[in-house]
Amino acid sequence: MTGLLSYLVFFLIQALIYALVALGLNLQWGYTGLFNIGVAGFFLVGSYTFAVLSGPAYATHLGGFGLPVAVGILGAMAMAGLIALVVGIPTLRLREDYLAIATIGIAEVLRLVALNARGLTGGSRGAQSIPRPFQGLELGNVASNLVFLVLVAALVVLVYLALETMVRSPWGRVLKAIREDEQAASSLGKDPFRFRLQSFVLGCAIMGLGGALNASFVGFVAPTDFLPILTFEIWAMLIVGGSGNNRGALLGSVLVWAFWTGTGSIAQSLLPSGLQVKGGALQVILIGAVLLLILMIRPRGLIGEERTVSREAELGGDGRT
Amino acid sequence: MRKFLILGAATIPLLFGTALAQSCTVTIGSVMALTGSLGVLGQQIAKGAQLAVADLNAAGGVDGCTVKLALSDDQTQANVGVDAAKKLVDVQHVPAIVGALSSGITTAILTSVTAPGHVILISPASTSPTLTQLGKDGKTGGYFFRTAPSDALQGVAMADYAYTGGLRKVAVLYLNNAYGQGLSDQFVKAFKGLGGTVTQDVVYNPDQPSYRSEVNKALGGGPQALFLIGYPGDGTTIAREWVASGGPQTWLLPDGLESQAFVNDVGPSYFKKVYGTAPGTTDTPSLATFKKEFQAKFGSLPTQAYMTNAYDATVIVGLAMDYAKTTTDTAAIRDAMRKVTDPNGQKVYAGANELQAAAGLLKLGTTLQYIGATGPLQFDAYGDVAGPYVKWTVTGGNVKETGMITVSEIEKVQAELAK
Repeated sequence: MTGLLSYLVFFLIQALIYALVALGLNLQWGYTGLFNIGVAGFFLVGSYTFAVLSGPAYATHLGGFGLPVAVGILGAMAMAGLIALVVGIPTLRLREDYLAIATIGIAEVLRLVALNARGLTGGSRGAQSIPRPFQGLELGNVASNLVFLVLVAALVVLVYLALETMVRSPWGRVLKAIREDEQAASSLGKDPFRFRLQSFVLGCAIMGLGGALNASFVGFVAPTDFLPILTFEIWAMLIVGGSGNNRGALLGSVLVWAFWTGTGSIAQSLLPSGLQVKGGALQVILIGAVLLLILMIRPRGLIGEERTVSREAELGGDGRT
Repeated sequence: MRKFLILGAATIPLLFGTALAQSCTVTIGSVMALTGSLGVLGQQIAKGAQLAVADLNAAGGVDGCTVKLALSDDQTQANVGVDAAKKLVDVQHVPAIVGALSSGITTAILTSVTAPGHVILISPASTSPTLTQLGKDGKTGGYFFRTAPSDALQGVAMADYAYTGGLRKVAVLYLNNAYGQGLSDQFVKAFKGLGGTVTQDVVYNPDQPSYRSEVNKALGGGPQALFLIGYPGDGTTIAREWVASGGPQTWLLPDGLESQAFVNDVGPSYFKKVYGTAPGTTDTPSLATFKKEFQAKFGSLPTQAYMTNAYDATVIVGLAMDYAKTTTDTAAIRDAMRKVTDPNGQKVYAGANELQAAAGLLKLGTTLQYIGATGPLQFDAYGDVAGPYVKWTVTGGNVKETGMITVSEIEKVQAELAK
């Protein structure tokens, strides 16, 4: 396989892992209006749970269960969902900005737990040797990445189809109703808190899935992998792609990750050798400029939310049965 | 006149001939933190690598090719660093990467890109013992090297220094990050192993306005001295509160606090007795050459760590490629890394002139011992280097280096502790 193709496979794996997280965030923000700025925290829970469940025995911390990768992934999703439940019950009654602040705090608390609970997570040293699926088959570098790409792509398709079905269902319509006008929804007998909790837990479980896959992909996790900048990256992906639209989340993820990393190569080629050490600064400028440009041209994101019109109105009915 | 012109015209192809001899280019990759929390340090460390490439080219290039440094930023983030490394390996086909700085990013690049891709990764600044562990677990394929000694060593050096200095009861206050956790762990283990007592081992988080509660906790048990691990800033706050709470003014201080500004801010009179350690370099001509050349090329030489380590890492990669007479066979280059740092080899030093001499020796296939700006480097089985440590103290209010703790002394202590 040529070098460029091999790199594209690697790139796509990371972009699709972020796409999964963006899909989870889209369910929370795009469809339910939950302002969750704690994405990195639930991603962390997924990563570490996977490391503990499927990783090797560690001399300094919990591990050594050696469970198969599939079990580790399910465990990661369950743990992320559980923590979302525990965290959601007290905080989901808060509105927008207040929920945002609470979730920032939650993400930082989770990161500090990972940093300090050394018996659980290995602390700042991190957890290494996290396995890939089909580790025993001793695939070569290229084959292992290809297999992983197929796995991640399949999971993305699965999650996408599941979410699309759910948001077109009555449950999905209630979410949108709560997002638009909570009082109207509750006056019709829907309990907004219950639906928000369900959406939050489900979205966080999907983020946990992304975290588990990322841990398997890189093979090593450390608390410094889950800083608030990660939350910002996912939010940028969702906003640029178009929140409220699952295809937008997918498109945004691939595009934003492409220019987040691609600007590095551009900066490297633009600068003369004497200024190469400033390449990083130029890259960050370019990232900001591109984000700004896209949002100026398409403020609602690249693919805006689809207008859903009630079936009755579409059929031209006048309300008579 | 015409004959003169014809003669002149005849020499022109000769000029082209010599220029064409360098028509190939070999790219050495580098992933460093140019932005983000380590960005300020990283930009200077990257210059160390750039100087090395300039020197290698002045010495005639590597294996007949001009060397180019492909420098990528990792933004002090693992995901960006991993992607940059993969791009260097797959698209620019680099045989070796100098980087990264943060241990977390180096480990991520190692496990996901360079070890499976059989590309050499040589880090100038990552000190986490996790990288040694991966070598022991057989996960690196021998493709990992580093020119900075592991944190594991400074803890042992400090414990030995303190114990032989007569201290038996020490309290530890350490910063909650990889540096602090690693160094404190190693110190506690070593100090207890030598027969001392660590009365309290207290962690603190950065950027707090006051550390009263941590200091009070650390005072429990009546220690003779405080091992304070951190950086100036929070370190200053803690030191002042320690003194104000009546703590003993005997200090164990690591490299992070080897700073005159720190001593001045706390108050020089409070440093009654200081046992300080810091990664040192054996004094060799290479360091002076490096300083001179760096100043000439970049205009100023900042006082910070790891620039020399980056220079040495890049030079060793270049020499190894020259020895192995290949810029693409990474297994051969990997094996050659120890042939240019062989303690029995012919000594060569840093700087453009020395490297020119080295190039001549390598053409004959001579084994070399490269004495770098950080001293003579020798890689052990896992790619680690052992380095000496500098002893420093505060006398008359001034930070002063007083001696060395040599590699063999540290190894002796380690052997004793292993029993």
